[in-house]
Amino acid sequence: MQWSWLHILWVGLQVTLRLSLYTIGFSVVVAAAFAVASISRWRLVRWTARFVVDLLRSIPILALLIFAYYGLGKYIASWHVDPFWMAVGALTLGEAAFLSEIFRAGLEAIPRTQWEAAASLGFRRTSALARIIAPQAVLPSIPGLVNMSIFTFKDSSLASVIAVPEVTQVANQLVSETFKPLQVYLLLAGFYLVVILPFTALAGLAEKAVTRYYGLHVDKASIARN
Amino acid sequence: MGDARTVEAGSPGTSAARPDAVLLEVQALEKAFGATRVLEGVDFRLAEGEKVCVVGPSGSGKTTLIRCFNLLIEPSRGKLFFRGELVGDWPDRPATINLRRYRRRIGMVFQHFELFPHLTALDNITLAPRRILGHSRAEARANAMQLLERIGLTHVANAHPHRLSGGQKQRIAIARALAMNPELILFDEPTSALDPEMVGEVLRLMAELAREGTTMVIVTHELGFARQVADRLVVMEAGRIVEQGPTARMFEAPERQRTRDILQLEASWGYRL
Repeated sequence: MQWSWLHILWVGLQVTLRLSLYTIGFSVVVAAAFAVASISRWRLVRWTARFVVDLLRSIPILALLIFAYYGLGKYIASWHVDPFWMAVGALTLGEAAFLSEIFRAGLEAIPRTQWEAAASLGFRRTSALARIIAPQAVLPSIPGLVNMSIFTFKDSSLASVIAVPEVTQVANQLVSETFKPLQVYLLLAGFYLVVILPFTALAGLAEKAVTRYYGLHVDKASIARN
Repeated sequence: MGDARTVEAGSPGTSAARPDAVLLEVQALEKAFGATRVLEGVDFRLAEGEKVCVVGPSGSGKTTLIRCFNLLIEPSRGKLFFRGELVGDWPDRPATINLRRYRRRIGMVFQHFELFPHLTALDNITLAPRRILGHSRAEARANAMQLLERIGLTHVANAHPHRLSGGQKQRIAIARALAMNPELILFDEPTSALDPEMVGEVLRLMAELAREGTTMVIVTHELGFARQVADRLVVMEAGRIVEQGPTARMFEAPERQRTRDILQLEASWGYRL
């Protein structure tokens, strides 16, 4: 092992982090859109959203990446799309499908009576969703979001197959140059660990905080009588 | 059908009812959820300023009835009028009017308060005036503070609902309804989810509103309150109105034995000290 490896892998890790952050950012937006569509009043919108989510959930992310790079690549070659952004696109679709289910569960967990209270005050459905329902769904979605972020970070290694120079791809190259797979891959595992461990701890904390918050919120009066 | 005599002035001194000004009327109202028939032909009239308590055993359709009034539940059959205007004629002409504009004229207070947990007490009260009526933040806030002062809860203005007691929550919920200046307030078992020691503070506030001439329809099991406050009592069972009339007469000389039985049964529900 040489110190230069650390530097090489660090450069790769920066790409991994960038890839993950873009993916998480876009996933949140796309997932929110899917979640809102999947509780739409219009059946066609609802069904379409749920179908697309189910479809995306059943396709391996690796397959999405290969499809984007080798399948579409030939036809969009003239656009000169960087494989990095193809990876962001494919990963976003793959992760957003799962994340949207987390958001949907969060929205559906808000009691129907909250919608009724909003309606009784004269709110239309969209503004009730924006001002009253969605804000309540944010907190319970956070543990799931943190988990999905961890998955995204790990899944970003799949982008190595389409030549995105993220940390796994860099490690592969290093192996082919040094012929020391054990040492390189152990070091690679260390890199992932260093990022994920604090994040996992954060996930644990978030979960506890949310549970505590909602635990306190249980309405004592309604338990007493009903 | 729509018998004018069912709208009667309440006991003297307690009522600001004007029997001639019909605020809300339903005719032959029916509601079925699938095969379950919840309302089976209800005729009801409400005069402006009138206070009506709706009582009856669980599952008698009380809650469904008042939810039809603001169309949180859509009737299966029947007509609904508000200030003489046809709101809907089901099933042929369902809701002919703008639902949102209609609903904001009618306040509603729920059994489980339904405060918005992510907002402070103050924001719960100001949200709808700001977003629906277009009041400025300052205006809505000033109004809300006035309401809070009136219900004696200015000190919890910035507290979130989970910090409040059940009684405080329900009073805030009432203030939230009042902030929209509704022409009528519907109360759906407003004290049923409260610890016994908190029932009083909510009922006192409601009695005060009643004295001020607020038009109210109250689904309740609190017969003592009904007797004191209501101009008229509606007794329901199995999706029908068994009998309705001025409160005192309903208690003292009901026309039907069944009314007597139900009121007796309901009386055994109430809290005794």
